[in-house]
Formats: sequence, structure tokens, C-alpha cells
Amino acid sequence: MASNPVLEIRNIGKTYSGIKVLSDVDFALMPGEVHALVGENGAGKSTMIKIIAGVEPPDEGGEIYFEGERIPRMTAHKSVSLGISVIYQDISLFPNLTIAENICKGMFNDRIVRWRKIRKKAQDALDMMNVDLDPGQRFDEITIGKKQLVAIARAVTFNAKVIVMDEPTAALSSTEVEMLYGIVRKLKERGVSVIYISHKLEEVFALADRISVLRDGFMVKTAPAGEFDQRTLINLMVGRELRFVPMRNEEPESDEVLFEVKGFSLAPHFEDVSIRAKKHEIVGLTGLVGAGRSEWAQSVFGLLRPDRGELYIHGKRVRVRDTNDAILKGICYLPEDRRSQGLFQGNSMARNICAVSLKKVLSHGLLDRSKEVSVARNYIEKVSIRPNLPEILVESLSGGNQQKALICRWLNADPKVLIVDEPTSGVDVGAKLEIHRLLRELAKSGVCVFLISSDLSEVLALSDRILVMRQGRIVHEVRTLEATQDDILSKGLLG
Amino acid sequence: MRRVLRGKSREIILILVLVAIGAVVRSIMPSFLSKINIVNILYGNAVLGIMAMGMMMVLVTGNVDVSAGGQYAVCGMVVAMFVRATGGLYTVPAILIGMATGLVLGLFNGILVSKLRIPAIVVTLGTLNIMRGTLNLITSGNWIDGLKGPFSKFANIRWMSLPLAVYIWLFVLLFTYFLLYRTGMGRDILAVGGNKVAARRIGLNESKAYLVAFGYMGMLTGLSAAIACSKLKIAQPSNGTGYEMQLIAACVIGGTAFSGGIASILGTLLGILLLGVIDNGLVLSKVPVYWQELTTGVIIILAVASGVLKNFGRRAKGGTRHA
Repeated sequence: MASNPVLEIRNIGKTYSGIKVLSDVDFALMPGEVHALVGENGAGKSTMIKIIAGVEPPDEGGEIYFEGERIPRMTAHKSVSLGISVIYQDISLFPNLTIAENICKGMFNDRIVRWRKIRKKAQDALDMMNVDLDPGQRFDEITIGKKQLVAIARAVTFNAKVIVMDEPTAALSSTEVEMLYGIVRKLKERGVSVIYISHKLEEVFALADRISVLRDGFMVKTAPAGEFDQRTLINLMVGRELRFVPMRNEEPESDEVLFEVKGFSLAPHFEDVSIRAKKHEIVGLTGLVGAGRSEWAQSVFGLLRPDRGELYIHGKRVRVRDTNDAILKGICYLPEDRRSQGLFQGNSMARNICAVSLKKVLSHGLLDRSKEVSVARNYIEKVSIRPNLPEILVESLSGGNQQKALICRWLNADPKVLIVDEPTSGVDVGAKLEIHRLLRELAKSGVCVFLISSDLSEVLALSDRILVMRQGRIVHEVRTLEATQDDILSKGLLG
Repeated sequence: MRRVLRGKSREIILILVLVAIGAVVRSIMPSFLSKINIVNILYGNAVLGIMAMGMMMVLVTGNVDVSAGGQYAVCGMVVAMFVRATGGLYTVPAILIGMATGLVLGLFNGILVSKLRIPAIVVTLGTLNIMRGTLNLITSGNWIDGLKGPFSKFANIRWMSLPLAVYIWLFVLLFTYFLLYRTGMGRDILAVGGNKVAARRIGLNESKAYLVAFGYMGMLTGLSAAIACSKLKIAQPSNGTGYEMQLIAACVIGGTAFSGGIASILGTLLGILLLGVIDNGLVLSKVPVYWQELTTGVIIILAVASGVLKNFGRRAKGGTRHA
């Protein structure tokens, strides 16, 4: 086997709006190698892939080499023509076309379509992979697992030299996972190199020749898979240091169960989730993306309709019809993506803060702007949003201040239960601490807070109790004082 | 047989509805199913039927063209001027001039949509007003009538008792089928309409797809306008008012998705015929003409609702996707 890397990146950095998400990353991919890329959420894996695929340019100074040749400006088109094929997690193909066309789209440039040729080419790829699919079937009629296989067949058909698979097994059944293993090994035999991104460490150990670990944008280690075991790998992924000051509940523990769900289920997202939470308590809810945490929160909040399950507040059965009903009953939810799900862009901060409790700013049934501003000013001072101008457009605030404004929106709705979903993602460290303090104060005032976060150090610092979710179920519960990082990680990742 | 019928439930329902309406109207008015009346329905709907193929093509790309009526009026006036000036002697050049005019107007829409990245409904709403306004300015609202010569007869040249206009319609249907299912361009248009992001990721040319679709719409509009000039021997600046809505209605009834990527030629044909038959049947049954609008409206809602209901089960359980 040749000893020159097929793909190499050197000194790659990436900065998004002032925040460095990748720093000095070096990475080399050998021909016929399965190279696993692991790291926590937000470690920079997706960004690295986007740079390799030419979707995002790296910062000044980064270099990309393909088969020894420097590629000065990698574009999406360039990477495809070099033979780099990325299978994105969302498998973006054409739902309205047949499987055969999806596999071959862009391959032939015949003016008159030759269906037989397309079908044959697609069938060849599927046969090579031992996949039993009718190429004439429409793409939107097949399961997500099969779509994944079609996307791989597409890469095979285009003679890709490098195939990047981003969490390929996230939606696969166990037989499909086996099938995927076989395909990856077959690709390897044919000299194709695979970058395999996965959260599931057993897969990584089953497939990878070498493993690279990213943490906080740095490439921490690259080594043959044999040099790692699960525990060392986890330690490398997570790091040792605790980044936040712990903020514990100082109130005497309350006996009052404020919030309870029993047997909450919504296929395929989560199954039989039962949680009780007390006054003053912050409950951390952690686990991998796709573990069902957000869907659970959205079901409690009335955004999704659970298949089964009962909800109690102060011991009384509550039925939530919709989000409005949830808010009236004291359940509030700070969504994960503040730009698309939280902010009313184009509106003032004051309007954003008052949006869910308009009744408080009415006079004679009409919206009273001066009331709106004074309510907002109150909160702005309380949580120190900067700049402290209620009428500033909300999108002109920094991420941390936007998030604080959104928390104020819920404060203003007098919540009993507040579920915050990744409250500090994309927020600088200073603002993170302030948001932590704000949530703690809220808990102190008697609200029950659920903290959904993939940032373990945050969960450990802030929660009184931690629940670990894995594949839609709560698999572990621990009081924070007794918990350690890798304890929780191994529960969430390995099980 | 099953393979042929797969995914065609809407078309089958439309045929059944057509048959049912036909049966009802015939019981009131036996002359409804006479040969003369059927030919009339076909002849009367050829103009819209041809344009509907263009509208369908635009909808497939995920766009919409609400300037269809304006294009139709401009093309009609241009053709009529040419015919008047030449005494109607040159039929084929007149038709080609109509199509060329339409092509230019369509490409104009296409360029605005693809280059400025403004939503098509906004662009074409603007161009609709520009076209009608310019036309009224130039013609001062005057008609061109009394078109003569061979041109004024071509649409109604009969062969096996069907007028030429109907054969042209048939040809356009077949040609559109060929374009959409047998050419690389057609497949790319479908792909762009199906998933714009994916199309971009694999380097398909979005702008080209838009230009072809809007250009095709314009060209067919020009052809339709020429046929109408020949049929009616008159053109007026207010021609085609409201056509865009009838075209969109026919496409939507036939199962073409507003979101793009899904087209049905048979469905669109049936949509046009359904609207035409209702119109004709109500006239024959001496029902006041206002009922036509009402029925059309109800049918559109029913057609769209049936599509929505079909997808409802799939969408109800969704959840937000997380990256």
C-alpha cells in the first residue's frame, strides 16, 4: 500500500464571527484507510468536514493537499471532481426522483436520457454493495437507512477516492448497520479511504484503522486504533479540566414534587420517560444528539404530541393542548436554535421580551409601548443585558445577550417549570457564566429548571441531579456530587 | 397494470369525477355528449391547455408565473399587428413571431427570478403589471379586429372532425412529456425542483433550469395567443385576464406541487378538462354563470385538501431535526 496520504490538511483553522472553532488542525488520510474522527458535540468535526468538502473555506494559512498536490482554493465543485464524496447526516438527495437517478445524477450529460444505462449503472453499484433495492423505486418511498445506502452507492458510482460518512448509523437498524460495516470493508479493499464520524465508540473500534480525536477545535491525538481503549478515548474526547464554577442549590431540599411525567413516549424519539423534579431543583438532562432530549422537552411544552404519558404539576394531572396552553400552565421552553426558533428578528428587544405575556403590557386592550419598554428595562437591568437599550433590534445583540433576552421572555411569563435546551451554545464564556447564574437564581426563586446540554462540564457545574438519556430512554440517574465526567459519558456513549 | 397505475390515484379520481359530472350533465342535457359538443370543449380549451403545460413546468421548478395573462395579451397583440399588416397571408411566421415574443417575455421573468433571487410570485406580479401597462399605453386600449386571410382559419382546419388547435395541444402534451422524462434538461429541472440544496451541492445549474422553465412557459403562451387570434379574429389588450389563476388551478387540481419537483401531465390535462367541462355543462344546463366560479373554487380546495390529507399522517409525527 502506498505510504503517501491521499488527502492531507495542515494547519487548518476556522473562525466564525470571532469564535475559533478549529485551531491548527493537521490530518492525513491514507489510501484504503478507515479513519475515524471522534469528539464531543461542538469539537469541530463538522467544520473540518465542511472545509475538506470545500463548503467552507479555512482561515488564512491552512493548506489542503490531495494526492500530494496542493489545492489552493477548495470549492464544493472541486472536491467532488477530485473524488471526495461527503455523505451528510441529512442525506440531501432528490426525493422526487428514482433511486437510479439519485445514484447517477450528474454522471452522464446525455441530452436525451438513456434510462437503461442509468438503471444499469445504479444496479451495478447496488450489486457491488450487496444491497437489494429496486432502482426504479422513488427515493422518498424508502427508509432513511436505505437512503444512506443509496448515498453510498452514489459515491461508489462516482469512483470516489475519499468517502466521508457523518454519523452514518444514526438512523440505521442493526441489520443495516451490519450491512454498512460490510460495505465499508469492501470499499477499503478497493482502495477507497473512508473518514468515519461516529459517536458510537463500538463502531469506531469495529471499523477504524486509525482514530483522530478532536476536542474544542484542537486535534488532540491521532493514532492506530489499537493504541486506544474506550476509556482512554473518552478521556481524550472530554479532557480533564472542569471549566465552570459549580453552582449548587443552597436552599434546603424541598419535599414538594413540582413536576412529574410518567411514561412519556413518542416513537421513534423517546420511550417511557418518567421524571420527577422538585422545587428549587436544576435537573441536567444529557446524552448525545438524537437521544431524544429535545423531543421530550418539546412534547412537554406541547410542540409535539406524545403517543403516551401523563404530566403532573403540583401533583395535579395536566393536559397540554398546545404551546399556549403550556405557557398558561407554567411550562416554558427555551429552544435550542435561538435564531430560527426563538427570536423575532426585526423586532426590538423589548418586544421580544414581552412577546409571550402581552397581557402585562396592555392598556385598555391595546399594546402600550411605554409599558413594554419599562417591563423590558426592568429585566435588562436585572440580568444586565448590554447594550441596555430596550428598543434596539434584537438581532444586533451578541449571542449571549440574545439568549439572556430570551430567558427574560420566559421570566416574564412566570414559569413554574423552565426547560432550557442548549442555553449556552454559541455564547462566549463570560455570558455562559451569567446565564448559569441566572438559571440558578431562577431555581432559587422556586422554579424547577431542566437543563438540556451536551456540554458535560456545564451540566456538572449547574445541575443538582443528572439524567443521562440514550436512544430515547433514561439510562442513568445520579446526584451531581457523586458524578464524574467519564462516568456519565460512558453511560451515555457505551451503556 | 398495477405498475402503470401506481401513484396515479389522483388521476384516476379525476377521471371518475369527470365521468360523474358528464353523466349528471347528460341526464339534464342529452346534447352534452354529442360529438359536436365534445369537439367544442376540446377546441375551447386548447388555448389554456397548451399554456398549462408551461405553467406546470414553472411550478415544477418551485416557482410560479402569475404574469401568464399579461404575456398572453402582449403576444396576442403582436401577432394581430403582424397579421393585420400582412393581410394574414403568412401563417407560420405569425405563429413564430408570437412564440418568439412569448419566449422573450418568459426569459425576462426567468432572468429576474434567477439573477435577482426574488421570489417568482413577486417578480411575475411586477412583470404582469409592466406588460399590461405597456400594452395599454401603446395601444391606448384599442382592439385589433377583423383579422383575415389564411391565418384566421388555421386554428380551425379540421382533420377527422378535430380542429388543428386540438392537434397542436396534443403535440404540446407529448412534447412536454418528452422534455420532462426523456431529456437531461427535464430531469435536471425536476431535480432542482425536488431539492435545491442537493442540486447546488452536486453542481446542477439552478438558473438554467429556471430560464428553461420560464422560457417554455412564454413560448407556449405565444403559441396559445396565436391560436386564439386565429380562432377569434380579434386581439385586445385585456385578453387573458385571470388566465394565470385558471392555469395554476388546473395544475394544482392535477397534482402538481406548489413546492416543486412533482408534475403530472395527465393530471394537468384532466384539470383543464374538468374546469372546461364544468363550465360547458353549467352553460348547457342554463345554470347562471356565477356558479362556475364557485364550483371551481370548491374543486381547487378539495383537490389541494386531498393532497394534504394524503401527507397528513406522515407529517403529524415530526419533531424537529437536530444537526
